[in-house]
Amino acid sequence: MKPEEIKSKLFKLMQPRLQRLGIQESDIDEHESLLGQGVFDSMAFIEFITQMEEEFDIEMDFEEMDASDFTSVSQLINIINSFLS
Amino acid sequence: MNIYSYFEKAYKSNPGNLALFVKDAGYSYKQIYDYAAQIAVSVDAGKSSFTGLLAHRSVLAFAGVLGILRSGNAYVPLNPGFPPERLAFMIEFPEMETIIVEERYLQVLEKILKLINKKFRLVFTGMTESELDLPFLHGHTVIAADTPVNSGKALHKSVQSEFSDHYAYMLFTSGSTGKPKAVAVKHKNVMCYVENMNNMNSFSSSDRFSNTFDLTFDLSVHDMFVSWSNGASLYCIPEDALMAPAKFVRNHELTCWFSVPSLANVMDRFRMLKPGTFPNIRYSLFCGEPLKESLAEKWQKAAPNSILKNIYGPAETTIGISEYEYQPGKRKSANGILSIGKIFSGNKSKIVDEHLNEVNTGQTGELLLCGKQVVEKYWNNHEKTAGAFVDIKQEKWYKTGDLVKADDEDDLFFMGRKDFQVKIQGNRVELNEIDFVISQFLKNDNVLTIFLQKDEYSSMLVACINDDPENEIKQTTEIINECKKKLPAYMVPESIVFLESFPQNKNGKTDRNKLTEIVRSKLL
Repeated sequence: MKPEEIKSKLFKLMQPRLQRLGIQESDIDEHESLLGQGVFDSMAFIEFITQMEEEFDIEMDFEEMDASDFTSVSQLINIINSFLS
Repeated sequence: MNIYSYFEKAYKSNPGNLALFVKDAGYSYKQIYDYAAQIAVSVDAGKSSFTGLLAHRSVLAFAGVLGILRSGNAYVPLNPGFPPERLAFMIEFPEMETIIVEERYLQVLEKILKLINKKFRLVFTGMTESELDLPFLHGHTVIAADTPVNSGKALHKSVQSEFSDHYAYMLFTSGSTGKPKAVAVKHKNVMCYVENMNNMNSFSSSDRFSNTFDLTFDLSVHDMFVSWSNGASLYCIPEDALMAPAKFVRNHELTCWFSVPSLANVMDRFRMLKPGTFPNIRYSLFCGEPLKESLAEKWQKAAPNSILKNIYGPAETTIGISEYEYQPGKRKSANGILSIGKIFSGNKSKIVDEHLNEVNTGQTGELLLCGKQVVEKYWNNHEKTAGAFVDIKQEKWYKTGDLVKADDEDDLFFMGRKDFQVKIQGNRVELNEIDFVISQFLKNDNVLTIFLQKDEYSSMLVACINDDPENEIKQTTEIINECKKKLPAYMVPESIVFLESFPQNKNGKTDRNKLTEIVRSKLL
């Protein structure tokens, strides 16, 4: 899967939440934490990761990760990519 | 004695020990002691009044707690993430005069001050007087606490030591009629808890305690004062890292873990509880929610060298009032939930039916608590006090609303709630409080919020509104925004469902179970 394709799937997953919060896709900085940008609080983000796992059929393992390693869109794309390649 | 003196004593014996690690920096007992002393002189000392603390997971948050206590006042933690309206209530209700403010929350402060017609004494650190010359602060008494003048004063100021009968902190808990209830806890209540903890466990000055809890949650009082009373180090886990704390725990070699079970559940969900992951943990404590036996088993394998305990206690009985030690060989549970064990020394319990008569061993009834850790009332709320506190033979008993049963060894088991209170990440939520906010907003009394368990790992709040379903799309965002204005984030419903009619039971009342099933089939 191309990074662009992953990205559009991620945004599709986020869409209901963005809509509810009145946030435009273009407002989101791909390199900044989605929590820092107010898109998610930590519980909602965990839900989102769960949906993401189902969508891409992957299993995240946070044992060796800091939260700051997987909270931006670009980091998520990289992680998903590493699973799929 | 008072709870500040635990810290002072540890400072005097080992001033160089690490007291606190927060935001990537470590602070010795001496550094925190000096910082707290400066704050104490800036807070109006002597009167036992409630002082606000608008700070969050920072060195000022912790030094602020100590500084306020050192000054003889009681602290009221103000979480900057709460809606300004709720914070304004928390400030006005105890007639607060002084608030300590962390620099990064100046904007939050501005929003709060707009809602309150009163002048405050506002204490800042790390900012000069000219930096604090801001239009919205004019008229208030603004104090830069860490000026050299203050430092000199702080060193000479003697500390009043006998205030065990004074209040130490005030916390707010969800109230069913729309306003939170205030629980004020005295030094003597906390001292009983800390001494119980220290007698039942062997903590030492080389221990490293986790801090997962926000200051608005009384389990944070355990983190601070159990660790400091042992001269140990407290590690505040950054908010983001709470989603994936395994690496932090391992990197910093934490030895005492304390969290709500739902955090352990998230860690399990994201594969952080592999066998042997946390070899350094000596104590694993859980509190705030029912602890599943299956989760305890996984945690015990992940932290094989630790003693695992399930602690129980509402805020009204100070942090925790009973505990059960998990033993893989002979464990006790009911419906898959681990026992909450035996009541702590200095306190007593009884299990009663609706007429306050004690039930027989093995039968389920409401848990009543009495003793040194139990507060006497809700602050300034006669109605709620009358509903939850009862005098029996000249003793004040707190009615927990928790349904429990006991076995023949006096171990207690949590069986459910009498009312519509649920726990969300350990936070008490009265579903009626959410109903109230929405009802007022829509001018519609037929609002019922339900708690929907989605799967083993997640749940959601859904507000059901008895009204024309056509309004759903139009009003959902408005309703959610209103809830965000009035309620902490964990109480804001995730979904709003409009229903033509609510299912009713034989007595003509809304059938919650049926309603939950209707919503489940609609949403999941």
